[in-house]
Amino acid sequence: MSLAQVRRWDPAAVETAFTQLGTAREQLLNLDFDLTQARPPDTWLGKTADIARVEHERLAEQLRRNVAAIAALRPTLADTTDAITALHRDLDLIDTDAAHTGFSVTPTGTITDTTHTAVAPDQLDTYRQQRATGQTAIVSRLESVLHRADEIDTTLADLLHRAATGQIDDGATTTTLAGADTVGAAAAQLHISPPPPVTIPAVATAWWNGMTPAEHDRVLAEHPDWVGNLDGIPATTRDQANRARLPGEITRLDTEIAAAQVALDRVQNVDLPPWVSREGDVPPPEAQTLYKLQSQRDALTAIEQSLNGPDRKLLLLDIDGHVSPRAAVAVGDIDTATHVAVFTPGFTTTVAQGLPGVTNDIAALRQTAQLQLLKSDHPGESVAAVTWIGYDVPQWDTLDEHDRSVLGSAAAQHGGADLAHFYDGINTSRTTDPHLTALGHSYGSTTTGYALQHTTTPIDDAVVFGSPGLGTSDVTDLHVPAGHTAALRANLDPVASFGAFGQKVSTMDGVVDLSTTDHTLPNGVLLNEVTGHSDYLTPGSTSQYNIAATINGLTDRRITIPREWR
Amino acid sequence: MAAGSGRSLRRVDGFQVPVVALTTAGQASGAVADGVRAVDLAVPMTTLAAAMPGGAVAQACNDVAAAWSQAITTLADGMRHHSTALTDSAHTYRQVDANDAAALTPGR
Repeated sequence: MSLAQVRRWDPAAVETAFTQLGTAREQLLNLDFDLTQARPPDTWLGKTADIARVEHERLAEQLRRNVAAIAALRPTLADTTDAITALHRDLDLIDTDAAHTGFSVTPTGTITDTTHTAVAPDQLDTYRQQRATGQTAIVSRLESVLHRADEIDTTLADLLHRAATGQIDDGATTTTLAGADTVGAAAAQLHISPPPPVTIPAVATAWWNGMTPAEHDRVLAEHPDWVGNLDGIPATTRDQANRARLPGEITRLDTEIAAAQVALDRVQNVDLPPWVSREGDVPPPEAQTLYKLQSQRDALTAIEQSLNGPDRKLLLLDIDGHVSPRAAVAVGDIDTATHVAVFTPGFTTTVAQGLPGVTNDIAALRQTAQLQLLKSDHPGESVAAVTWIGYDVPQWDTLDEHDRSVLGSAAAQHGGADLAHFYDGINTSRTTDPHLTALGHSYGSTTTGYALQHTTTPIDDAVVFGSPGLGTSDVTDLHVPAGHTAALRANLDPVASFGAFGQKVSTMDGVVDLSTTDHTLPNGVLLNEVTGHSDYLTPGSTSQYNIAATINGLTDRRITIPREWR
Repeated sequence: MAAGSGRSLRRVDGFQVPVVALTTAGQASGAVADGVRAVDLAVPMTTLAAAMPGGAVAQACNDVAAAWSQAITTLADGMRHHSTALTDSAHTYRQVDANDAAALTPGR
């Protein structure tokens, strides 16, 4: 199967075949009365009658199998029509995206770099790498389309083969053509395969876009685990899938906790000899298991609390796939909002303890951003924001764990790769390009910094606050337009002065410094100073105002700090 | 030996023949045969093959078109043959009954 052949597929002609098959179906179903009448009468008795009845039933069975086959084919052809239309739409989108990024795709799938950009010699390697990454992304999306096309072709061909050889079941007890029609139609459904091994979110997006609305419904109903956490899938779909999974996760954990409690009780109730003391004993494995399960259950409770507000969406639900539960909760419509922000919190944040509070902070930030838009003659624009706890956030008790220590960058690097996918997934899953802002606090800003070095789609703005470093000392390593990376450093925030992971952010060339001190706006509104490491998102503060004015694109309203004051 | 209604032959040594119903069944079988023969399943397969060139579907459509055309012909022929058999049986039963009735009528 080649791309050129897929492009030549004609959904309108498939629909014509569907209509023609419908005519044949009607003709055959109209024979139902005559076929019933043709049955040798029951009152005809004797050897001849018996032979006649067998012959009638043989012919009727053949007819019913043909009707069942047609009944199975028709809805499959209808699905195929939709599926081809979706494939072509996706191919058009790939062509458009390729053109926007300086590539052209020939009908046969050959990709050509059409840019003629003069690049400074010292930037050449980076430039070439970016172009190669862009080309790889297009190739992956085209491969996904071909994969889906091959699946459609194979599935329909298989059904045709079964139809031709009388393998479509007409029902063991069916005696009428109408009954065979019903049974056959039930056998018709295009096979839906799970998402292809995803290397980039664009592949997941292509897989999703290649399906029909009916197939989307089937995936949500039958396989919500396929899409709930898959970057590149629309946020609304992820939310539906994850919310559908929540009750099952709660039930599962409650059951496991009850069993773990029983196991622990059994161990603790063992009568020990009097000379053996329990004091100072290491907790038994059963206790550790119970503690872990209860922590996961606490995370689910926190997620439910976080969703208890307007416009909340659950974009990530991974309770036991990693060392600590992961979740992401959005406020607003990520799929359609003009401005989208993704906030990554830092050190000591957990889903169980931190998600509800941080989600409320982000909801308040979003509200500030929206109010600023309303007051600035941008009433048609909207804001959505996500709290993303999708990495193993360092904790106090993980200081000596290499992969989870706040003293090292491993957790930020690993988390950054996943966060980059999350950013890219928002961009690829949408039909319109959002103004996308990356927000990071504390160690979460380091994770954000690494993510911004890995993204394959454009991030429009970045704001870090209380940052110990971005994992680089060169702002151009971040895939953010020049002049669109900003930092806040509050008084009495020692973390923001660390420069532990790359150069101290506020001294990096190309980073815009945003104020955190008292400020009076032109309309007389007083904005408050924040101090220390943890209050950057306080409503009514200069800090929150500045972050809001970044995520809604009103960057000229921000209160900046002149470079010489650093 | 006609039944009270005059529509069927009564059971005699293990068989019973409702002649009118048998005739109706034969005629209905004929109608089914004609109806089946009028169905053209090759056309939608040809259309589908042209709509999805280059893959397995196009080849499968050719196979299905041939198989279904053969199946329709076989089915229509089978139904027609069955129709004729039923109708002939009814006719034969009626004829035999009439002949026997005449032979057994006193004075003939």
